Amino acid sequence: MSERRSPRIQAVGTMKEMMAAYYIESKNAADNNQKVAWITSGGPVELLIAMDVIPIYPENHAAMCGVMHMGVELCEIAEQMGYSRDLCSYARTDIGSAVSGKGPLMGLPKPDFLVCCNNICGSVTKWYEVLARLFDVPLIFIDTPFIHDELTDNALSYVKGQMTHAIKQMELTTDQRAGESSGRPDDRRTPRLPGQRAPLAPVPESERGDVGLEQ
Amino acid sequence: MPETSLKTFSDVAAKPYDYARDWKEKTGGKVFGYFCTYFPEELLHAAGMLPIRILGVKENVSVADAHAQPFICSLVRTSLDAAMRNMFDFLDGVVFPHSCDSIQNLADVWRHHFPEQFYDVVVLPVWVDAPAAEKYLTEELQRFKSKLEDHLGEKISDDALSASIDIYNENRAALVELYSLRRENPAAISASDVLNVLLSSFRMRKEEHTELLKTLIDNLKAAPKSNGRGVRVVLYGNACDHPAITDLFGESGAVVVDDDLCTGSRYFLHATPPEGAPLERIARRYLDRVPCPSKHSESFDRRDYLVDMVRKGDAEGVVMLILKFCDPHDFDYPDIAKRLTEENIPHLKIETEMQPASIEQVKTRLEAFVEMLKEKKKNV
Repeated sequence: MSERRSPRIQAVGTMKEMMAAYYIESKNAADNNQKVAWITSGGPVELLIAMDVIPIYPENHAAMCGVMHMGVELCEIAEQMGYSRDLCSYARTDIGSAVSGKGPLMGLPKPDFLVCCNNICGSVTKWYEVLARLFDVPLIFIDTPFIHDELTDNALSYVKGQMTHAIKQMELTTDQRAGESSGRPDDRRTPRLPGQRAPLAPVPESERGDVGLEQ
Repeated sequence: MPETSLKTFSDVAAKPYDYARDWKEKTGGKVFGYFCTYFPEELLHAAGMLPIRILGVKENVSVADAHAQPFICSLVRTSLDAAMRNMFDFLDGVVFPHSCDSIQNLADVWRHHFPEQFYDVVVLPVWVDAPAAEKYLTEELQRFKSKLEDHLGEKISDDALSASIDIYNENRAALVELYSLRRENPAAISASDVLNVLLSSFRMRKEEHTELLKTLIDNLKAAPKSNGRGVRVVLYGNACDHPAITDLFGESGAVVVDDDLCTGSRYFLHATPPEGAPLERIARRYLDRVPCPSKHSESFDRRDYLVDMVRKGDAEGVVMLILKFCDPHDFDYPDIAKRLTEENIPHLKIETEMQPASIEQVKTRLEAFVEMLKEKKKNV
């Protein structure tokens, strides 16, 4: 009887290459004058892409650690620090990896700042507070009120205002301008493959604090 | 006199739901249950009703396990269980604030099971010092107020709201005074008595509670200052409402001088500010108060807050009373513990649950901690 083999998905090879290139680029970000931000799965990543900041997803990385059978060891590191075993294992895995530098990629690149949006759950709020203290970097927060029935204009307006505020915070943190009037090529605001970059220029003093994007 | 106040507080604390039933019968008024100290009770009070805080029940869970996972906070689990066993059938409505994920989800499970009961969730901001948080919360309070008015068939006037705000501020000020007196003379009132004062404030009409509390305060002022050698501790945590646990402090030779508890100072610290329209004032108060760990604040650092509290109260250690499965408190714990250690402040974490549990284990650990503090004191 011949061995049963699952069909091979041909895209897996290409996917692995892309992932590897992505993480290598993120780890060399500083050399290329780029910033790295850790972001929650539900966070407004468009803002990071628009500002040429490399987004990193700790939740995704934690799942990877689990698949590579490293989750238990990393969680134990967090538990030794006092993080309860009752806490989300994504968070414990991530904290364990961040503190020890261990993991399938030998740890994630250090964030220049963090973006936390609590639409996914309330635990991310606390997890990202821990990370902000650990790395001593700015934490940009987007509070999305939970919708029990319907989205209200009030909630929408509240979140919209926070997006505007977040953009300003990111501009200051990354020392660049979100918008088109800087004269940089348009490809800064479209999703790129690793290796394709636009040159960055610092925000002129006279233009700092101005949002640039239409409300 | 103080015995009467303390006895009333103790009775109400021991049987809160009986008190509410009696009140309802006597006055013909409505009773709404609320979860958590973030609910803007003043609105309920202004509508003439009795707001009572639901803090679960001290019984083992039987039916709720079919509707909620066992690894959630026992305040939520036992409350759902009690509701499903019809222990809350006297409630005319149940309302929730947005605080943590567990309360958030309990709200939706609850209304699914009790569709005939008035229900609402006041979705407060999580980010309490967000630039637009006050504007958002004021409007959200207006939404709730309108819904409540529609339900009751009558408007809640600004005057009624202002009057309720004043009544609540008066109770808060009295509780601040109680805590201040306790700091100066912690042996004059036991930790359990203070807990009962708080537990009854969560359930009585505020004006009634304030009157009794003021009597207690007068008597405390007159109490002789004890030069006791009790080891001074600060409590930190979420919802500790077991008098059996608070009794242990006195038994082991410790006195509680202050607390940062959800069933303690977080309930009353910070008065509603005087300026603005009533709903703006209420919104301001709930945003500016000492935040629960479930909230995100850019300006508040609980590590600094606790260290200051310890220094201010001349305390020798911190005892953390934390309900198991509380994510916000569990995430904060390691960095708080680290800071306390750096500041040379001994600390002890005790996990509790609402259901009856062996008090002996808690007793042993607490006694050992207090003994260690006594030794430390001797060797200084």
